[in-house]
Amino acid sequence: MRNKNKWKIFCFLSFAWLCSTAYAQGRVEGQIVDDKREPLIGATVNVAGTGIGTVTDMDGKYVLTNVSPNQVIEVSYIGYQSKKITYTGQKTVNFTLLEDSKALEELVVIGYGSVKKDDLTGSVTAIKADLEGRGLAPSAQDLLVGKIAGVSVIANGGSPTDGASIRIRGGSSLSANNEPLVVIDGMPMGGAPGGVGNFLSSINPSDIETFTVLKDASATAIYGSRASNGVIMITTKKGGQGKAKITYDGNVSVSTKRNQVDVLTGDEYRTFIKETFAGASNEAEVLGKLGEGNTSTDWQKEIFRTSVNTEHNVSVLGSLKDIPYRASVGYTDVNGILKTAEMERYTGSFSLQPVLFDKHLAINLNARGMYIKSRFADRSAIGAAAVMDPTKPVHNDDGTFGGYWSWMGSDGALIKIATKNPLAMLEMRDDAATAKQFIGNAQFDYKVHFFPQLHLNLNLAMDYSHSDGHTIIPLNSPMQNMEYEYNNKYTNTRKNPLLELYANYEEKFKKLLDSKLSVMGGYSWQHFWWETPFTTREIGHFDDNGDPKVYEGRQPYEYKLLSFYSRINYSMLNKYLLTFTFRADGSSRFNPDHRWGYYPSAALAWRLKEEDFLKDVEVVSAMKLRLGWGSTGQQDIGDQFLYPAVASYQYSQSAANYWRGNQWVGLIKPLPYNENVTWETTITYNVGVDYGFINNRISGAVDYYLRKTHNLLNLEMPVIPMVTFGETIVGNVGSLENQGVEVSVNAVPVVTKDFQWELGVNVAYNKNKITQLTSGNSKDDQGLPFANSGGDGSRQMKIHKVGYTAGMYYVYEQVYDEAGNPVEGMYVDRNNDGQLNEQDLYLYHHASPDWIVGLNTKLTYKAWDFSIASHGNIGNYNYNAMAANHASLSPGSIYYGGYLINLYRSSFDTNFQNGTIQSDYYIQNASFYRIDNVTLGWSFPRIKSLPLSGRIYASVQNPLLLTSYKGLDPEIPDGMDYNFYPRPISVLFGVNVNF
Amino acid sequence: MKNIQNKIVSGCITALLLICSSCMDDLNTKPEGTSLTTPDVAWQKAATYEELVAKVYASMAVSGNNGPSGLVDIQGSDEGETTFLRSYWNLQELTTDEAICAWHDDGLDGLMFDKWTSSNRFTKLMYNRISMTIAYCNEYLRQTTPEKLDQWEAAAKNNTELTEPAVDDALKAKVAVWRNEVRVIRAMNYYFLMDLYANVPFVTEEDPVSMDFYPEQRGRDFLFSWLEDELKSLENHVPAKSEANYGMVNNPTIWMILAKMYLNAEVYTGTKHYTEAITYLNKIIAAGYTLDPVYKNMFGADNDKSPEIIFPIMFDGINLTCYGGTTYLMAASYKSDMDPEKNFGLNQAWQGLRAKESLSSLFGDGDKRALFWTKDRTMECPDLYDFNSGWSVVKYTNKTSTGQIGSNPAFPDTDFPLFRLADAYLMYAEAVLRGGEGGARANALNYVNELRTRAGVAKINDYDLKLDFILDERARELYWEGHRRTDLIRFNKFTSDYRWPWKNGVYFGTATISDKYKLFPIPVTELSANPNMKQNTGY
Repeated sequence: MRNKNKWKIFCFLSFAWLCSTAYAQGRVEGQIVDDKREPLIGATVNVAGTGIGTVTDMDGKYVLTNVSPNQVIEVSYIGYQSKKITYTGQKTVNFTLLEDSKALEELVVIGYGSVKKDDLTGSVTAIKADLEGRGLAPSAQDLLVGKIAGVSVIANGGSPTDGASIRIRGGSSLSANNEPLVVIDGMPMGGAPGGVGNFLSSINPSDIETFTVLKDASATAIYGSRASNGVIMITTKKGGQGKAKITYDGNVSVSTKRNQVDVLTGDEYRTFIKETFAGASNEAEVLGKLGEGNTSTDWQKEIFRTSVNTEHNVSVLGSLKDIPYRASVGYTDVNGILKTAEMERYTGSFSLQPVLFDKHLAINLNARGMYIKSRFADRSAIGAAAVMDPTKPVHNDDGTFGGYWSWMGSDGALIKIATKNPLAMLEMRDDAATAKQFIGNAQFDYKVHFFPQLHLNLNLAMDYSHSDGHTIIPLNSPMQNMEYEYNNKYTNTRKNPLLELYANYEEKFKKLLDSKLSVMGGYSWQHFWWETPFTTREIGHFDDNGDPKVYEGRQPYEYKLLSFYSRINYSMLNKYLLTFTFRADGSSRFNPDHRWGYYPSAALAWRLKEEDFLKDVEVVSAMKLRLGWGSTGQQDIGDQFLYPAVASYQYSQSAANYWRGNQWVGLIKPLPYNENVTWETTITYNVGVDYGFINNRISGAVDYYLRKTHNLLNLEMPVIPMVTFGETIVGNVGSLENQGVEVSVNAVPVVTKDFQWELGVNVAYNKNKITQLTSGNSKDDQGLPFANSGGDGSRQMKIHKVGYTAGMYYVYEQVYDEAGNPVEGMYVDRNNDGQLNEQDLYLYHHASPDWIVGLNTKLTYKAWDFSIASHGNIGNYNYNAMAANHASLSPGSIYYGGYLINLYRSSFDTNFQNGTIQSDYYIQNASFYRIDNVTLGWSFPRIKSLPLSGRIYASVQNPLLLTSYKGLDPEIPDGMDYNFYPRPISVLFGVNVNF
Repeated sequence: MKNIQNKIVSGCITALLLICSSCMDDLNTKPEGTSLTTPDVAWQKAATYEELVAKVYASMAVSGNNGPSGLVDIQGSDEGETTFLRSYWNLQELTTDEAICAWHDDGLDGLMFDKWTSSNRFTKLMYNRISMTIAYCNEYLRQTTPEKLDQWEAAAKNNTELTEPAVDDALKAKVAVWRNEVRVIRAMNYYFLMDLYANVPFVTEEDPVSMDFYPEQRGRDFLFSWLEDELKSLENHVPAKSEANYGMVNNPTIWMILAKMYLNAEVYTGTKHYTEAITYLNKIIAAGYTLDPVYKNMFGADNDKSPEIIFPIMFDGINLTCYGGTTYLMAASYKSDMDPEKNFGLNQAWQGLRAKESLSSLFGDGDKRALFWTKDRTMECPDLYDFNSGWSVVKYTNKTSTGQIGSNPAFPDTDFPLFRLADAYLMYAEAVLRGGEGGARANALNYVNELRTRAGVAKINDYDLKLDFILDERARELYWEGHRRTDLIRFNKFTSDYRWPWKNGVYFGTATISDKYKLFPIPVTELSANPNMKQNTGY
């Protein structure tokens, strides 16, 4: 007994002594928070060079003991920049960590797996979705504008329902799809029409965690047949840890138009008409057509409005019994600046990441649903508003045509070819659709028991969407010419299931040159099915009830993709990295002889920083050289040729019959097909350097690439109509070359305790050239003209020609007088044959830019943040079709068919009498620099009385545009400026609250 | 450990292989639905056999498989332009002294000034449309040979899913006649190709439908003799001329094509065949057609009742509509000041086509064939793009012989009279004047005077019966019916000896232009698709 007591006392005293010495010798505690004053749970606190370390608790607090003076305390947390401080005896040291959005040292998601950024061998850029500086971004594509070198995102217009043209390193196709493959949580999207517009609008931007863009073939080849245009991988936010964290994100914004076409006012027009028709034989008739009194209508002002929009998103994340979860709901209501354009969107998502069997089975369950109600505005009202007679009132007195003033002829009937009342075009048209989409996937990652280097991964996914729409224009709308009511209903259902199964094996051979090997092999099956039942009305046919007879049909379409893929990653001495991938794709779209495409790739990366000559150079913090080569394919020929390789017949629908003896007989016709059609293939060579200086304060990449596409899918390959039932068919002919340079620099020039300045610049140069266009001799090739000039007259404004950039404008060379004014109808006789005809057209500039530039910057001072996002294009030219089609000043052009048209003020610059559509005068430089948004925000921390933290912010979207282009907006994806829906300028106020 | 690992790995590989093999033949997908089908399924059904014949005829009328637009056969910026009649009429009339158009559409100037180039849109549209019709004919003939019919019959018997009438002997008998109809339409289209382009590919049902097949280019000599043989072998094997068979080809149709070939043989082959022309013209004249007592009824909504029309291209305001065909001939000629719905039965007015003084001045007073609208118009046409410059032509209307509007004021019922008796009369007279045997001057004079009496103008004497007179009388009788260019070439007045307003691009007109304009160019796209093709001289 006595011995036990003595022993206890001894222990207690020893313990007490130990504690006191510990206390006296290096006890430090503190709290670690992020820049929003939120505590960081689970952050690592280490004493450098020792084994002493701990992890912060639920309040972000830590305690370290036994820290000796002059030792360095390091704090790190995933996704944040580490900090260190030298211990000199402080009792309390608190840290504020800043998000490390640029250097993502942790895993980067690539195809079928993820890899540390340091280990990447291909040209891959990953960014976190920056929601703070985004302004009004109803669609995920808006988060990418100007952020990544070589990635160009141009919205197709300012309408809320407009998609975007996304190009990675220019386009590698001529007529097949140039859009990159979008993969959301491992599911490749699209491949079939229907759904809710472009794939990026099917995901709520607030749910996005990161974007990873795969640019060169060594990275994209793992996606083989669909990856020629690059791949954008989106990873959505996943569940968290511990107590539920609720976040609310909301904003309200006001949008209005920036500018409008300069046309004459009512009074100016009256003066002009009186002067022009003075003494003409029809003077009295024309003057009689002018509006009464002093009416002056600004039609463009009538059709546009200032709209109010709002967005609300709520998300909850946390973990329940160790199962991380995240749920979110969102609501977006965006009204376009063009009257009647509206979009209302509801989204919901739910994800769970349970881990079972002692961490051997990781399950990722995601479900996302979306419901969109849209109303589409007729954008030809924009062109109509510019030419509508300004002396006429918007409404009439007699209530005809819905109360909208309309042109009537001397016979008392509507003049059918006259300009329609623009407001009637919008308000009397009910063009609306609702769409529902569900995307779900279940991913199982099994680390094999007793064989932990082997992972088996199964992904089952489904993309289901259904949309209903209708376009109804009543009989009394001036658009219907008093002929019949337009009533078109359509529905579309789409189901795309996906099954992917792959195995991944990793092994380290420390003794063998410190090698690491990982081998992956897998299989993928994807089915695309869609159906668009249609109904059309038979003109003049009535059923027994006297209702117009309706013709209904059902025509489902489907195709399937089957693939095998594999990848080997090998690294040696942590300095030399090698990657090989191989993929085989089979498509049901093509005939068995042409069905399979094979896509290999190889890449080598050399971590120069790890080499002896750079290892100790302090200035250089990272330096990696990358070389890559790979082959990818393309088979997206859209929905124009649904069964392109198989003979098919098509039945007739309404009002197409022929009289045979005693009855009307319907028709059937053979459709053109190409039994040889197959994949288009692109081979890419890439050389790049990833660099970092001064502890990655300056980092970025420089890349040079060369892409060669052959077997180009030409949607309009000329064939012999007498043989193949059509004059064009989809076929593989031609080749294209694309090369360029990308430079990106991300810098943090200033970092102090209270103030930080980040800057990101990316610049890319791209040039393409058509190297072959037809199966014949290229020298004789006259090229393939296309691209309608809009309006009447139907000239083909662009051409593809061997040896030139794709899609150059095809115009006459304008002749100017001494004063520099264009002379109407006078063009240069370029072939000197004394005649002026189609042989004198020439190729002049193109719509795609030579340079794309993005510049983003962010300043943080204490709780304030200020950011600017901007981008620009240089070297893109637009065809100003609006000005070209409305330049005629002759009396016969202004008064024609019994109605008057207004004039563009720009027509007085040229003084053309009859207009000249195909002149190079209208191919105008549309280079621009645009500030996309400017945002100012203030974060408030969690304080004792208010259990929430957050941020309030204000931003202006599209505040500044610098350009010399004379049209309304220089940024038009295909360069054809006709009836382009202008981009608005918006002011937005938003709140983000964390509970 | 290793054992388990090995077992796991081999287990995975086996599973993978199993999944793979079952999914591989998954990859054969075919279309099936209410809109699309495949040939092997379609030919088992009886309805297909007449539906493709209907398509062959409809390909000369409308633009596609939906009216008035939609499911179009060939590409054009305006679906109406892809119809046979619109391009054919433009090529045969806008290039002559009979018509001009006020629009600025690409390609129209080239035609009106007789200065077109090888990239002219309308030459391409015409070429493609005729080629498509021939392709449809060949497909029909390819799939309905006696051997094939037996094959389809057997397949239909074995097909348990078939719910519609299948191939049987009764159908085979009808198909034998339908095949001949299709052959006549094909011959007719080769005739147009021979007249317009001369050097064209020659494809029959013996040739495959394949991307790797490049047909040979043939000239007029070959086509002329092939057409002779083909048409003569079809004589008496086509439907009889009757009211019940309105719209179908018949013997007189065959004879008319042959007569036209023989009348123009000097142009096509350099040899004279006026005697053979008269042989066939006599057959036509004896076939039972009579002159329509009222001229304008032949161009109205109920012209299917006309006793004079030999072969029509049909249209119907409810069942067969398009933006080309007779819709074009009417709507493009009307302006709203003509009150077109009230006066002519059509509520569309596109203000484009009108006559030139070279046509309007040919008529004497009281000529019932002079169907012009002159109010607020000038007879001269110095202002090309002004619709009021030149008399409007109201020959084609959507009103019946009793003054009623057709079934639909938006689209006409009016058929287009491609071949009619009056043409045969004038061809007879011309052939006689050119020295053909088998006819008589007295008959020729009578026929001409029958036309003039119908038109309400004075008869002529034998002294007046000369070739130049025939050319003018053809204008008066057959203007705006798609004959003029061929006539002017035959009379050697197309590229020389005759100037008309706007010929060669000047209002005064230049009489002599390059001889290359006697032919239209082969479209550039055809040359790049088929290396066997050479362009016509001068282009």
